[in-house]
Amino acid sequence: MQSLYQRQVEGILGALGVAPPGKLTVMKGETVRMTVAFNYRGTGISVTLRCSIGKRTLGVFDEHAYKTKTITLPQSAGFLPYEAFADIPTTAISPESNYDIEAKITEYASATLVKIDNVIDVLGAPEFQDFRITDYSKV
Amino acid sequence: MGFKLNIKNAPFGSFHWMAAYSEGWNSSGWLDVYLTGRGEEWNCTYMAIGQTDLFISVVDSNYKTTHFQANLGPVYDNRVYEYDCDTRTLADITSPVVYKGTISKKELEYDSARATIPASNIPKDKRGLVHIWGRNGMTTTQRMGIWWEVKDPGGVVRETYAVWEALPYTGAGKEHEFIGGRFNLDKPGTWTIAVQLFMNPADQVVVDDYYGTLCTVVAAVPEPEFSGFGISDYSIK
Repeated sequence: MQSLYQRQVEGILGALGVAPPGKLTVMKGETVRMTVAFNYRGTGISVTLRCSIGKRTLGVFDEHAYKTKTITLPQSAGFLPYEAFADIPTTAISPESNYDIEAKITEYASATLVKIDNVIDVLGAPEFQDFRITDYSKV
Repeated sequence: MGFKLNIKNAPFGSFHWMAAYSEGWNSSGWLDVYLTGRGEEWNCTYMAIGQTDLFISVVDSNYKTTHFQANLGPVYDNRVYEYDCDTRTLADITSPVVYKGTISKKELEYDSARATIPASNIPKDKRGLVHIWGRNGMTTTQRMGIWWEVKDPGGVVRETYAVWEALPYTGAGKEHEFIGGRFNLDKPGTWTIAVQLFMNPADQVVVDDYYGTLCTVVAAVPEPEFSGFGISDYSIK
């Protein structure tokens, strides 16, 4: 289990964004913003970005929470860079460590699916650790 | 078959006239001469294939010759002639035929698609094929011909096409489709075409034309393609 200090530090890092494969610790009920970057060329299209948090077991991804978002990409003859994000609520996720994440463009899943394992820890109920008396004195 | 012939400026006192050719075998018989000096028109139904032995005789009421001229011609079918007794000349006064036809439709085929000319936003690197329809505006069947020239945005001639249609030609009010050869639409920009529709191959007449845009070609847009897709970061919102 993490110390309060660790939690505070990761909270700050989380607000700034954690780059893969860094770990992000969230409280159950918080919202995780997942940002993707990519290049695109072709006709003007609207596509669906799907960002997910889950657990991968024997190569099978069990999706625990996700968010979709429509992205409109203008026509372009050459590759242009884009960034997009989706905010994933963690309300339905059980407090547990080492969640995996995935992101993809649904309509072009085979060309875009990316996976990163063991990067999200979800904390649940208030939890104490190493509680002890450290001192006693007259006041 | 045959031709029409009349006389003018017959001498005063003339009463009848006649004409004959082919050694006299084809004859009009006696026709009237009016006070104006013009005669009654001979609507000849005999074949005329260039004979040059036509003679004209004009007589008074007693059939006494007032005017005579031989060795006129050549005479041909489907013509209208007038003989002038004053000048002793035979003139062909056939009214020139006014040919009428229109370019009724213009299309650009590119691969399996088609668009009306002027076409726009044709993807670059398609294979172009011009289709032009000519409509016969005459009351008789006509043989139509076409000529066109396609230029790319740089002004370079990319296709020249010219042809007279083959039998059975085009009936009155009907259309004929001319199809050219294929060329590569390999330059983005405005392509132009000059078209002329012809009739009367023996003495060709332009009956309609078009000078303008063939199409605009745009750089081809590739199929949707993603690259470098990845999660760049994740954070608590």
